[in-house]
Parts: sequence; C-alpha cells; structure tokens
Amino acid sequence: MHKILGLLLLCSVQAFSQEVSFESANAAYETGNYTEAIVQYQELVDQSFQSKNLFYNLGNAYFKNNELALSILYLEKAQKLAPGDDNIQHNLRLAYLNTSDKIEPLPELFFILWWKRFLSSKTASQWAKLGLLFSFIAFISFAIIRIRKNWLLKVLASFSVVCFLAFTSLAFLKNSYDKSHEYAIVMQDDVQLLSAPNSSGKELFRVNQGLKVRRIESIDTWTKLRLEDGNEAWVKSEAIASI
Amino acid sequence: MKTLNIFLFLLLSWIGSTSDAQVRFYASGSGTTSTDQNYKVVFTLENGNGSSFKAPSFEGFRVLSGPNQSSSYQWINGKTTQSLSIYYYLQALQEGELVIGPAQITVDNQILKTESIKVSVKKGNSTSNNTANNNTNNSNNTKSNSSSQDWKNQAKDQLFLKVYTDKSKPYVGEQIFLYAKLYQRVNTYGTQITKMPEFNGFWKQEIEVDQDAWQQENIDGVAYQTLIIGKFALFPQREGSFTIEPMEMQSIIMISEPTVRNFMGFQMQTMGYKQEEYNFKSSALKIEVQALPMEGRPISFNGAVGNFELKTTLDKEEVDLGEAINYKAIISGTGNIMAVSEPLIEFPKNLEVYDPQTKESISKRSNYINGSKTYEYLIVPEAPGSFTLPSIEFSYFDLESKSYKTLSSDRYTIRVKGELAKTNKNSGHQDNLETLDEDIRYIYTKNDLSSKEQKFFGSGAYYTLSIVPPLLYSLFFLFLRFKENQGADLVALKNKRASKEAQKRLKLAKKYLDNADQKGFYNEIFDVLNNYVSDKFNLQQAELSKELVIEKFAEKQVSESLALQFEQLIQNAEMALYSPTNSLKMQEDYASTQTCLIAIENELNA
Repeated sequence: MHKILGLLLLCSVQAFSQEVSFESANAAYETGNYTEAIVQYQELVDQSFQSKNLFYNLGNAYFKNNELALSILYLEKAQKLAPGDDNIQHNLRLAYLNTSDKIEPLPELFFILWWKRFLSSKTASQWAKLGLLFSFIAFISFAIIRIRKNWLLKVLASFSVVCFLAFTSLAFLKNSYDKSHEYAIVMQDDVQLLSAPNSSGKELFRVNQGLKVRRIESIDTWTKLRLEDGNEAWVKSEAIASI
Repeated sequence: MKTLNIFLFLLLSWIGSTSDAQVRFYASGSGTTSTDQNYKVVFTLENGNGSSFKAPSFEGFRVLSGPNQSSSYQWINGKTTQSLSIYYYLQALQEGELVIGPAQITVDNQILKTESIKVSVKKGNSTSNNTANNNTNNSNNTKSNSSSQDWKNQAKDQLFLKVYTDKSKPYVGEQIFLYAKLYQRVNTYGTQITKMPEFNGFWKQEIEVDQDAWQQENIDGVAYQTLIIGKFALFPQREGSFTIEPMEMQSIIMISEPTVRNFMGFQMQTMGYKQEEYNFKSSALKIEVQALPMEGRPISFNGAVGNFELKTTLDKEEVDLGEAINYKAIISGTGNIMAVSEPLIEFPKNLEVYDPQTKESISKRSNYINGSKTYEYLIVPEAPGSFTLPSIEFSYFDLESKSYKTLSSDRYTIRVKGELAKTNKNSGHQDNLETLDEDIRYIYTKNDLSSKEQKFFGSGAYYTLSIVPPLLYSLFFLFLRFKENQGADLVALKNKRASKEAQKRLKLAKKYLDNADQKGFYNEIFDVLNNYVSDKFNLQQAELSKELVIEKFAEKQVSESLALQFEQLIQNAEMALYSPTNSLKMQEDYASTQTCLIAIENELNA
C-alpha cells in the first residue's frame, strides 16, 4: 500500500515538473530568451518526452537563436509527428529558405500526405486500443450468434472483425513509422560527401547544414545517403542527425 | 513776423555762401624729382565749373600721360568741396631747376591761373630710362631695392583692400553680404583680382556691381578713393566658425620719384614716376555661424531660412479611372531657396504617384536671393472612389521674428469615377497584402507532452488484452460443444434403454395378467408402448399421435405392417381399459405386444 502511494506521489511530482518546465520554457521563449528556452525544451526532450508541440517549439527556439540545422531537425521531427500541420510547414519552409544548399525538395504526393496525416492522427497506442475495442465487440457478437442466430448480429460481427484488423494494422504501421529514421539532416557546414565509406573515398559533394537527406544504410561510423536529386554518397554518421 | 523773415534770409544766405564756397584753382606737385622718375603735377579746381583749361607748356619735360581727369565731391564737417583735378605724368628731360608754368581755366567768365611750380631735377639713379619695367622683385639693384621698400611701405597706406560682411554672426541659412572694397589714394592701373577666397561652408552668389562707382571716403582724415569691387550673397550651410581666406589683388601703381639725369654734361634733377607692380591682399575674415534654435522647431522643418510662401494647385478634382492628374506644390520666397527640399506628402493608397518634376528658379538680379521651387506630381488613380490629398506642411525660420513658421497647403478631394477592372484588382489591389517580411510562426503553448515509456502499444498489457477475446471465445465455444454432446448422449441412452424398459414393464403387466386384473394390465401395456415410442424417438408423450408414430417408424425404416400392428396394439389397450374381455384375449395381447416390440427392435437395429 505504501509502495503504491509512493509511486503515485512520484508520478504526480514528475507530472508537475514537466508541466512547469514546458510552460517556463514557453515563457522564456516569449520574453525572447531563446537560449534559456532551448535549454529547457532540450531537457524535456532528453527526458524522452515526445510531442509535436515540444519539437515545434524547440525548432522555433533554435531558429530564433540562428541554429539552423537544429531548428530544421526539430521542426522535421515535429512534422513527422504531425504531417500537414500548417504552422510546422510554414516555419520549416522558412528555415529551409536559409540553408545554403538549394535542393528543391519534391512536394509529397497528395495521397501520401493524406495517408501520413491519417496515420499520424492517432498514436500507435490509440490505434491499438481501437483495435482491441473492436476485437471485444467481435467476440461478444460471435458468442451471442452461437446461442441465437440474428442477421444484424452477423453484420456487426463481420464489421467488427474488419475494424479490428484495420486498427491493429494501423497500430503496427504507425509504430514502424515512428521508429523509422529514413531521413536525416546535415548538422555541420562544409561536410564532405564521399564515394566510399572511408576517408580515402573520392569527394563527390560538399554540403552545408540544414540539408535533408535520405539514409540508405550504415556501416560503422559511415552512413550512405541519397540526396533529393537522386545522388548517393557516404558521409560520417556524426555529421548528420536522424529525424 | 518780419524779423523771422529777415532771420531766415540771413540764415539761407549764410548757408548759400558756405555751400558756394571759395573757388580755388591751384597746381600741386613736389618740388623735387629726378630724371628717371615720373613726376605728377595736378591742377585742381575747387568749387567751380571750369571751362577752356589751358595747360602750361611743360618745357624741359616730356609728357608721359595726360591730361587725366578726376573729380570728387567731399562733405567734411558740413563743408562741401567739389573738386576737379587735371593731372599729368611728366618726366624731366634734364637735371637742374625747371619751372612748370601756370595753367589757366575760365570759371564764370573769369580766368584763373595757377602759380608756377619750381622743380629741382636731380640726375637719375639709373642711367637706364626704362623704369616702367622695373619690377618690384628686382633684386639685382640694391638701390632700387631699398627704394622699392620705401614705396611698398608707402603703398600699404595708399592702396589696400578690405573684405567685410554686413553681419558677423549669421544663422545657418541666413543670407549675408560680403563686400570687397578697394581703398586707394595713388594712381594705379590694371588692377585685378588674382585670388578669390574659397567660400567653404557657404553657398555663394556673386552680385554684379558697378565697376566705376568710385566714391570718396575718409579714414582718419585721409581721403581715399573707394570702389566696391566685389559683392557676394553668402548662405552659411552649417554652424561653426569659418574663416574666409584673404582676397588677393594685383595692381600697377605709379610712384613719383626724383630722378637725376645727365643731360649734355649737366646734372639735372627732376621728378619722375615709376610704375611698380604691387600685390596686396585683404586680411582673413572670420564668420561665426550660429545654429538655428532647436526650440519650437517643427518636424516639417528642413533648413529653409527666410520668408516663404506655399501654394498648391490641382488641375482637376474629378477624373475617370486611369486619367492622370497634375498636382503642383510651389514654394517661393526670399531666402535660401536652393536648400528647400521636396515636401513629404503622404499620398493615399490606390493613387499611383510618379516622382515629381522639380523646377527651380533663382533670381540673381536683386540683392536678396529669391526664387521658387516647383514640384509637379503626376497622379494616376488605380481605383475608383474618393481620395483626399492631405495638406502639405512646409516650415521655415523667419529671420525677422526669429521663430519658425509653418505653412499648410489646402486639402483636395479627388473623385475617381469608373469601374475597377478585374485584372487591375489582382495587380493593384492586392499590393497592400504583400508580405513585407516573413517570420516564423509562434510556438504552441498547449502542453501535449507524453512520455515514451507510457506507450500502450507493444506493452504486455496490450498483448494480454489482445489475447483475451479469442481466448474467451474459444472457452465459450468449448462450453457449448460440451453441453451439446451431453444432450446427445441422453437421447441415445433413452433409445437404448427403451426396449429394456419395455421388457421391465411387460413383466409388471404379466403380474397383472396372472392376477386377472384387466384394468391394471391394459394400463401397463398402454404405458409400455407409449414410453417406448417416446424414448425411442425423443418425443414428448403429449405430442404423440397415431400419424406421428407411423411417420417416425417410417423414418427409421420400420415396415408399415409392423407400425400398424404397433398402433393397433395401442388402440386395443386403450379400448380394453373401458370394455371387459376374457383372460384368453389378455393372454393373446400380451404375447402379440411382446413379439411386436421384439420385431420392431430387430428392424430398428438391422
């Protein structure tokens, strides 16, 4: 009993501290103290809190503090959590305007964007809960049908099975989407892109911070990238950060 | 009254006598000269209108120039002196005593004569007669050098230049006059300005002066011929202390000099003159320029000082869309008009205003600089409606009242008729919405933090819960199945036990038969047959009927005769319950029931 009480207290304390921190970070941002805001937001991120608003705000604070690559990284993270969010898209566009490498990113196909938006409208857990709900409904319907046959119940049962399968798949898809780190942002200026995953590789490009690249594979400390224009090259993994 | 008249008469006649001062005619010239010097002799007529002047013969002299004339008018201590001078430059031809004879002139029909002048002529210092080319910077002749020092010292007082302004502490933008005045009491020619000062920090405008307006001026009792040789209007451009550099001039002056000439063995001393180039300059002039007062300075003030007027005109107030309108703002007046800049006009939106055409006219004729600046705007309305051109403000510093004054122009209302074309709307109208600068959007303030650890999906709870429905369903299924199986066994059991039960009951019927209990016997037979059928076919006793029983037997492939026999037996038993029979018949029914049941059982099991 004491243990449970202690756990509850701990939880409430934690909840309290994160509330204060997010609000106080917002307050720091509001007064123009972006450095302080960054410190506080970053602390929340380090506490493995994940939220669209947190990433978005942190990205904004980095932007105001002229840390372009970090700004883009966190705005992209926010966009990943909430594809199609108007504010995030706007700020991200502005941030990309300030990068020195102008590789025009292809606009996402509308149905892919819709799909991403739909997938991200709920978290994986929410999808999973919906799936469970329909799983229970299906069970109950089938049980009743066993005893008493009824066409309405049959319809309900089949519908529930379909929903259960759909929502559970969505939960799995959303989970893998969250875990995928397909894209990355170049974090440093004047980064060499080489033809092979070692220092003796021929230099193919030089890119600057803020460039969005697609990760293909990683070997040791090297990552193979694909640029928006289709070119592929190797880069030191430390020079990029995954979205 | 008479006495007053007499007094006035006396007074006037006295004034008349003083103004009509004594007429004098005299000759002047120095008593000595030398053969290499220029000698000047002047015949002066004071206070008289002379005519038919006769010069003396100047024996022993050569006339270098003359007769030259100059006249002057002086008014000293209430005494006016009008004088006419006729002068000659002479050079003595030989040493010795020479006499310049009397000159004569006729004034009011009266002949006046001057006195003769005795001149002793020395031999000139230099045998060279070419004194005119004797330059001041001549250093190869020590004697001439020393004499040049003499004349230079003399010249300092006889020929100099003064530069002065009418105001010593002007405001920024205030017009001042700068004069350059030449003072001389020596004969010169070829006077020219060699260096003009640079008026740094001033806007300057030269004003034309009359180059022959010689005047006479007295300084400490010494009379000078004066001439304003330069006049400038200056406008200080900024505050501070400014120095106007000296103005430099050059002139050739004639200096009388005794000359000693050797003429035919005689030493002759005469008075000659020398032409010397003389450079002189004014002293530097300091001007302190004061800043305009800050107090009461209007926002629209941008440096205009003087006295100005503002006028605006609009050529039409009602136009069609796209028609151009002319709007003029004219600033005119006296003062630093060149410093006037374009007034700030806030034109309403939806009026396209082109850069103005600027016209500037500055009059340089009069002393005080005046002029006007015209700004002509071309306005093209881009949308229909009514627009108000705001009043223009123009401020200047008024020197008389030493304060700022602000002028405001009229307001105009322009009515624009017409319809806005659609294409116009897109290009012209939406300009207002053009983004000026882009900033990132503001942060989200809603706290939507959720910890990664709190994830439900993938947790044990999720998997447990997802197993529950199929598990429950399976259990339920099994339960139903079990129940069904149980029901099926009971029927089989009944079926199996039907004949056994029938045999048991038949034995009971045999007891009744042995006791000759007819009612009990047939009752038992009836029950035996009915129970058998109901157990065999899982039917309720109540629903038993003759047709159903025959049907059920047919289902089980029992022959129809047997079924009918079975049915006959039931009917017999039913009838025998109520009608008495003998014991033989009971015996017979018992045996046929037994054989029928065995036969049915056999056919069922076949």
